[in-house]
Amino acid sequence: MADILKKWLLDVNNTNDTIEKPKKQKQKLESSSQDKKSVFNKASVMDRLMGDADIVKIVIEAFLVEIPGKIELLVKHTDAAEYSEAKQLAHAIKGAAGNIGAEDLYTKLLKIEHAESGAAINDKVPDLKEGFQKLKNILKREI
Amino acid sequence: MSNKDMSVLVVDDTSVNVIMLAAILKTNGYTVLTADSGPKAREIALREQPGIILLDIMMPGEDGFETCQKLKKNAITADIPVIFISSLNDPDSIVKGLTVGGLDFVSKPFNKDEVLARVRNYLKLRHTYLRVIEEQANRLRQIQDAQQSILVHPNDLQEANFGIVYEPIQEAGGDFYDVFKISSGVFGYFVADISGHDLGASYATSALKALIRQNSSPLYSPEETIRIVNSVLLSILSDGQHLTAAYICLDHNKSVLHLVNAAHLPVLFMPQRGDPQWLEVDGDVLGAFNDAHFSCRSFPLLGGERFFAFSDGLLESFEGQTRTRAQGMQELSNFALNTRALQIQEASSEIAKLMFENSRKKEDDVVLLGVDI
Repeated sequence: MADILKKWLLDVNNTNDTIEKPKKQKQKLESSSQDKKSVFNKASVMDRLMGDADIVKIVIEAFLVEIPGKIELLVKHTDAAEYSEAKQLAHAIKGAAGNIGAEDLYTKLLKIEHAESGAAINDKVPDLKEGFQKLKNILKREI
Repeated sequence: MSNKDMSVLVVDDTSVNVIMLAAILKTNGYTVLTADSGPKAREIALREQPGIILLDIMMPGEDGFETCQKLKKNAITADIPVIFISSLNDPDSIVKGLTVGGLDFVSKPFNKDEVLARVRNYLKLRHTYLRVIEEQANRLRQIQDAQQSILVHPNDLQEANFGIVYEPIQEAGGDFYDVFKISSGVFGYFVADISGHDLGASYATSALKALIRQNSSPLYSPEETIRIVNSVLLSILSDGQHLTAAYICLDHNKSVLHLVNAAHLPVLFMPQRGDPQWLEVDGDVLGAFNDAHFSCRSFPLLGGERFFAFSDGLLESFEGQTRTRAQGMQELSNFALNTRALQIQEASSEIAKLMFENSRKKEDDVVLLGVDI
């Protein structure tokens, strides 16, 4: 009897485990999808472009052609301690990032635009580069 | 609405933004023009005159504020509505944008419905505004046509030997002239400058034509004619309205020129030989005083003379006031001498052309009436 109960109890534990697992997986997946969405909110750009996938593709292509150079220039200005130019570029790229639904990049650029010192901009640039790399990878898969 | 009225100029140095806005606008039936800088935008606006401009603010070189300011300073682009599309949405930027002539702001990232609604509303407003302007211009053109149709042309009365330059600056001009036959061998020449250039002025010109002709008869002296005209004008002109005029009565039978001057500029008299002379006679303005004083002077003629009566717009009203009345009279006198060999119409046209040389922009109506005796 004790054995049977033990088995049942174990089973119950096991069952709990198996119930817990998909929940966690789902949460993990949701969180990952949320992360991805904040890197590139496709729904917002689709809405902005009236659900026209072809135009979205054109816009992404244009973004991938134009923005990497501007990010690179922003980094160069920062390295050269030309912070005012770096801020201006951050402002210009921010508009395009917002329009294309690149929410994380938009936030990172906003922080650079409003940074109170050169040092603060220096601190934020690595994060910007990393964020932009992530965005590029996602966008490349969209075209 | 025409294609031009439905055209939108999108200005942004970031092509992604331009492509997105262009796609949205094109899908909704608009014609889209694009520019990636302020100077290019101004060039396109000048050439194409779009219905509306969506203008980014932060651009390298000339920023959106400066572009807007320059667009508003140019008469051809001044009326084109400008909407700023920018992430600069702090109160200072908004106030600056509105101060330099922008009508509205849309913030980046933009909402397509908001952009479309604003573009549609401002285009509708502009369309209505242009329609009102066009209707008013049409009405004034009709008045101008009516006004000009009462003006006599040299070919209509060849015996009067006159040439004319008549250039109102607005559709309803404030200057007026008339040439008519009083009796065999006797002609009347009348040049007037009515205060204002509005509809009131144009009605006054019609009244004047009738008045001067009705009352220029061998039965009345030129002075009496002007006195009667003044009496009638006193009762028909609106408050504050008045006119200056020169009335010349040329009697070929008696070889004499009679001049009555109602506070108008003197008449330039050119003898067949010798220096030009200014014929001056005292007199009050017409249509202002019950007890107005007018007098007439008579000048004997030898034949072969020429004279010019004109309005002050010929002498002194230019952009920037580049000369005084005295300087203008001196120039006119010189030009009249230099064109003495020309036919009277040619001479009148040439003198008017010379008076407006060096791109002097007219700021008043111009009448120049030349007569060969």
